[in-house]
Amino acid sequence: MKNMKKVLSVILAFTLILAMGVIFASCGGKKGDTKIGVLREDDSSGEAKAWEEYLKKMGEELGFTVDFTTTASSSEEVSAINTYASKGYDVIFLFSDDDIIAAVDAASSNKMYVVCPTGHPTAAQYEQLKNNEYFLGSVAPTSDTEYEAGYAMAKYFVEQKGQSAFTIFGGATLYGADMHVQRLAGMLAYFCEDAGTSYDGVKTREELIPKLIGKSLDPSKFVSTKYRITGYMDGFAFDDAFSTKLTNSLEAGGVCVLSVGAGDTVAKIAYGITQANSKVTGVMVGGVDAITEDYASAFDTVYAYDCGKFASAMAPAVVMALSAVNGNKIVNSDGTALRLGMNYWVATSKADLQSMLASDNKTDGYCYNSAVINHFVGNTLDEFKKLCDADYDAAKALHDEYNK
Amino acid sequence: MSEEKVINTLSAPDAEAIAEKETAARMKKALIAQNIVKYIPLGACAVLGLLYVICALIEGYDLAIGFKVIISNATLVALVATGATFIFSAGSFDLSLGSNMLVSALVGGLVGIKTGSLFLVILTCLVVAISLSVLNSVLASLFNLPVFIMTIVMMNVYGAIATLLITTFGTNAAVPVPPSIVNSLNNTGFRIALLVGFEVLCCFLFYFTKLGRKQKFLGGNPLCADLTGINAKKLTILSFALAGIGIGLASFAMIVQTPTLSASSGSSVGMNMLIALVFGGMNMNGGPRSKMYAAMLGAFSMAFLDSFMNIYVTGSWYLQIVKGILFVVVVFLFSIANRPKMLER
Repeated sequence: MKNMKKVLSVILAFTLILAMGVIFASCGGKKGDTKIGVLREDDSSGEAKAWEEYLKKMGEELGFTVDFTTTASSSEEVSAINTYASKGYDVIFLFSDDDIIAAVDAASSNKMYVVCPTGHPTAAQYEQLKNNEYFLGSVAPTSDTEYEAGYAMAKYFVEQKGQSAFTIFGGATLYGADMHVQRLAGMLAYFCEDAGTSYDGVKTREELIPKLIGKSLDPSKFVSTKYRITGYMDGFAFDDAFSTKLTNSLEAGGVCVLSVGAGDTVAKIAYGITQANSKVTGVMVGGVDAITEDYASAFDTVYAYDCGKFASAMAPAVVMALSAVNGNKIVNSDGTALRLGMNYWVATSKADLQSMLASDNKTDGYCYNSAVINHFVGNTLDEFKKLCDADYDAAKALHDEYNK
Repeated sequence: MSEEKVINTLSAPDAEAIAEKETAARMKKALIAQNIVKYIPLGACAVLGLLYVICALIEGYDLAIGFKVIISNATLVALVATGATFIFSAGSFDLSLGSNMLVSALVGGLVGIKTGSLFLVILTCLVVAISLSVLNSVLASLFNLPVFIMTIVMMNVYGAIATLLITTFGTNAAVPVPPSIVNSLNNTGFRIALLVGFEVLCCFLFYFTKLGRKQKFLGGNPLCADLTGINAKKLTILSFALAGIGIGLASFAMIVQTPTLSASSGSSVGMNMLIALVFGGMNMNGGPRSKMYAAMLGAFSMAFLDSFMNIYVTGSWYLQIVKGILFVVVVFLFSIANRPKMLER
């Protein structure tokens, strides 16, 4: 009886609170101005900070509100989307992608638009989403761009820096992360253009990807008369095991480190090894990640090649969001959601990188500033593609054209 | 004249009467304090709920959506924590619940991909979760190890199995279960039905059958329980099996809510479950003061806290820090309240 009373009182308390919620439910509602909620897993990297600053600055200039939520799982993603919905947000920028289908479902059931500004849904996911009227699409480097980024990096170090022995960091290749697999395949495909080189008996991109995806790279399967891969690491636990593997590989002669991500961290660790070990000299690290201040500092150590997204890379997402909210959604010719590529910027020296940063920062102004965005909002798909496809030089030209 | 001298001048019966009165007053005071402590979790839940409602209204949030979020967030934690109450009340401990849930969801999801059958998904989730949960207690019995040590080891093993499943069968670092299988259940009504159904079942087993009494007895004093003929190992295995049902249901609920499963799916449930139990007023040493409804109470308290904080702070890391601090504060307060009344175990 006593227990029953307790159980009853708990149930009564819940009923009271739930009833209050229902009674006051009608009091909430949407407000007038455009509100964008950003969901991200990474809130601390230089890239994440640069994008946050860019979006806030554009928000001030273009009159939209932007808020950020850090999530760590798919449940948190959906929960955060619903929380934004409860505050009347109009658009979700989905940087995190634990469960894009569930995230888009949650947003569309609350009549909020979704843009993926940093990655694409898989082909199967895109098929499920492309006709959802609230899914505006994705604008980010495509698999081809990722592949070419890896290819170009390997080519640069072989042809411009005369390297032939490599250490490779494969990031989340073991987990099957497409962007990392493509970058790694690009590096190997370049090496395999040499007649005496192959990996596990194959040479081309199509053949290499199944050998890598979810399996990592096994240096013992790399056969070449011209190149050597002395070590391979993956995962993002930069622990003692990582340092030991990197040291062994560098000592074995693989002093050119090609990294599919987190190049600044890899460079710092490699630099530390060179400082402590006089046997290891001539180390150089290249990576595909971001154009940020952190990477400019990394050039002071052993970093030698940086390929990545830039602060203004968020501009296409802003254009898509504002166009949709203003009733001029940019879509494919068949009315489906966009799935557009975007170019990386590439710097091969600190001076290059600093010049890029100087043309795209909070203090001196962004490359894709409000004037550039205003030109593209509500414009045609063909015009919009110019913004997405631009490399560094084309981006500067766009800036100059719309800021006369 | 001092108090001692006054008592000395009283006759023996008078002194006895005064002493009895003092004892009665002390007992009354202790009872009041005990009742206050007992209702703190309920009060805290109500306060957090009200705080959320008031702040959400002031800030212009839509409460209908807000309450959907709260129910959704509380469901996973409450299912796991309610099942885990059987383990905790018997004085045991399991740290592998979160990773067990992920493995169960992954296997269930893979069965769903292969067969497209909703029934087989839920059945697989339950069978795998119960099996893994029981395995913890059986291995602990086999090697004569404290169960919680076994569960720490198994937490890492299950985590590795989950990674292996994702890398072997997944695409792009995830196992995508077709949403069409589970979409019909992705609503608040299903979550409430699932939670209430399981809660009623557990409350019945805990409060109205011998099982609950035996578990509380075992948790309160294992030696006495042994001397009265309670088979501790058998009861512990049964407790883990019941906890497995909660984990299985939670893993199914997770697939329904977010059908694309990755290594991070349900990653916070293990930690949140512990905090929810403490928030709900569960005695972490188990024993007679264990409460089955504490899990649900704590899960809703946490969901209200999450939603309240989300109004002002956006970042799961901050939330975890705040929860961690509250966890320590609540444990400290309960330990102060319970210290004079607790028997050494």
